[in-house]
Amino acid sequence: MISDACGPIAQTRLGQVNKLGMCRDCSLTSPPMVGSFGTPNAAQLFNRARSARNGRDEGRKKLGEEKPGNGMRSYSTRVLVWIIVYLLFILGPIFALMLGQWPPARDFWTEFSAALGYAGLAMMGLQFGLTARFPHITKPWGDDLIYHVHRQLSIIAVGLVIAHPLILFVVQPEFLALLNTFKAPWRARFAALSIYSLLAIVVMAVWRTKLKLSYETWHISHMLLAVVAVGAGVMHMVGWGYYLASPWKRELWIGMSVCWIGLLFYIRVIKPMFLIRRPYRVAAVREERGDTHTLVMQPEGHPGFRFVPGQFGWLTVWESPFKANGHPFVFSSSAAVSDGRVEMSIRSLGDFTSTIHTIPVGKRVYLDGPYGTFTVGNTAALHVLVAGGVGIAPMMSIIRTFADRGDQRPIILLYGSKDWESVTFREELEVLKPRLNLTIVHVLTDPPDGWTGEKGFITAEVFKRHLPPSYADHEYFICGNDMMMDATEKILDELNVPISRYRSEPPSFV
Amino acid sequence: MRRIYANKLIFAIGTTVILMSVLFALCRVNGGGIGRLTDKHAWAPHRQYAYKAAQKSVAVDRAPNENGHRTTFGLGPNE
Repeated sequence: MISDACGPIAQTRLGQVNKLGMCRDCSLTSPPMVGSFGTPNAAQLFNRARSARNGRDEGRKKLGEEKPGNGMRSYSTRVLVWIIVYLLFILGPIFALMLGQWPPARDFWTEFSAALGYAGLAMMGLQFGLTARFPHITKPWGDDLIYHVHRQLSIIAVGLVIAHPLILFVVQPEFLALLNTFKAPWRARFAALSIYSLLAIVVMAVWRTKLKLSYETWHISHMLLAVVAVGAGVMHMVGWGYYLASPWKRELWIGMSVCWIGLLFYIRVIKPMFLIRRPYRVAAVREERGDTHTLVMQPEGHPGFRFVPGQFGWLTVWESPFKANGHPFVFSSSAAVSDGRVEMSIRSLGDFTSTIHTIPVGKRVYLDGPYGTFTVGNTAALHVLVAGGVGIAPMMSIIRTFADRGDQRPIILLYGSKDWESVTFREELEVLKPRLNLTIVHVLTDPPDGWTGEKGFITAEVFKRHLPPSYADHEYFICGNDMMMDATEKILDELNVPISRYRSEPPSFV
Repeated sequence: MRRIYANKLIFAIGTTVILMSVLFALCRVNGGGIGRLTDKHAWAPHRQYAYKAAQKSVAVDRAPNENGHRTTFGLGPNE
């Protein structure tokens, strides 16, 4: 899924952005030519930040935010625990094969290839858990990175699984006869089916755009092939029976596989059953600047859900939630509203997003959420929001929530757009400004005549001009296309801002 | 940066899984189980031969050797 600018958040699906993956409204890279836009200087902001720090705990309580983290150490600990648990799930069942009765001895390479096969299958199975949208699983990484981790670990898992037969073919060439599908025993046929399914998953995921597969077709194929790959892999193991001769070992691996596939069943069948009982009605479709529409949705017959500003939901509009056609968009509305109403601001870029303005008022839609860790939750007194194009959507949720809750912690919004006319929420930001300790810095790539503000892209110089110098003390939120986020994260690294101090949402994460 | 950081951790996970697969194969290469991990005889290089011999003979060869000694774990009849 690719969005036209920002986030699970902001937009669309893979293949709906230009070849460079750039949002037309996002700005970055080359240095700006001119200074500020009537904003306070860095020293004034520093004083504001210091005075606001005293009241930060109170503000945090008001927002219902999580307890302050302990910076990098806390982040590293969470990631470390995540990795240890993940490895236990992979390696535990493998080393369990060496308990109890052992099968006869074999040479090193045969045993190594068997271990790789088991490890690969265990990793493949755990992919179902990674994408099951469990908050505890996604929290250390963020939803965008979880999908990145999912892709990378899947490639490793496929490599391990394919290495298994390749090693066997080298050390025991007689196994090559098993490639003859017509004469091979069933256990070998299951192995071939598993590997062919895995290869198909990789090909379809990597070259989906070139193959001109729609997102929906790809998504359904991806899930079915994954089930076939894992199911056939387990059938191969059970059929071979070498390590799974003991009933408890067989039950362990079959049980694990059932659990893995059960997670998919939970997401695709159980969860939609709940969603269908908690529908939403479209209350309004508002046109915004920058080819963007805001979808206002009201819960129907239920109180809705509470979300934290910056989180997103999976939106299903035209079909039943049982069809795997949900699209992730960030909530752009205030989290402080009490009637359950939520809004999503969506830029028109692809086949789905370009239909948003045609959604009739009163249309029943389904929302699965909230998800995401792109949320305010740090001790930082100063929040720096870096938005490109429709990446302003999650920032609007944060700003509106601050305004509704009377939170006076200072915010600096670095907002990159293509031109002045396409600056989404331009007028509303000016209206909200007096109610908040908010500084807005517009950066335009194509500024109008007489523009005295920042021009070009959001660069390190823009940061230095508008932010107090204690850069590592602030909390940063970045939303834009991949290039913009990479550039911004690089800037923050140069400014010695630790990873735990910033959160970013990419335009695409599935 | 987050992605680079994640890639390093993914590399660490992949490497660990492969190394553990090697360990699995080393434990199993002579038909052993997880107990070999804590068996010092199994890992002392100069005793590998003795270990293998003992593994093969211990089940069937508990008879006294030519010196009148019974075989012990790690010390086969030829040692």
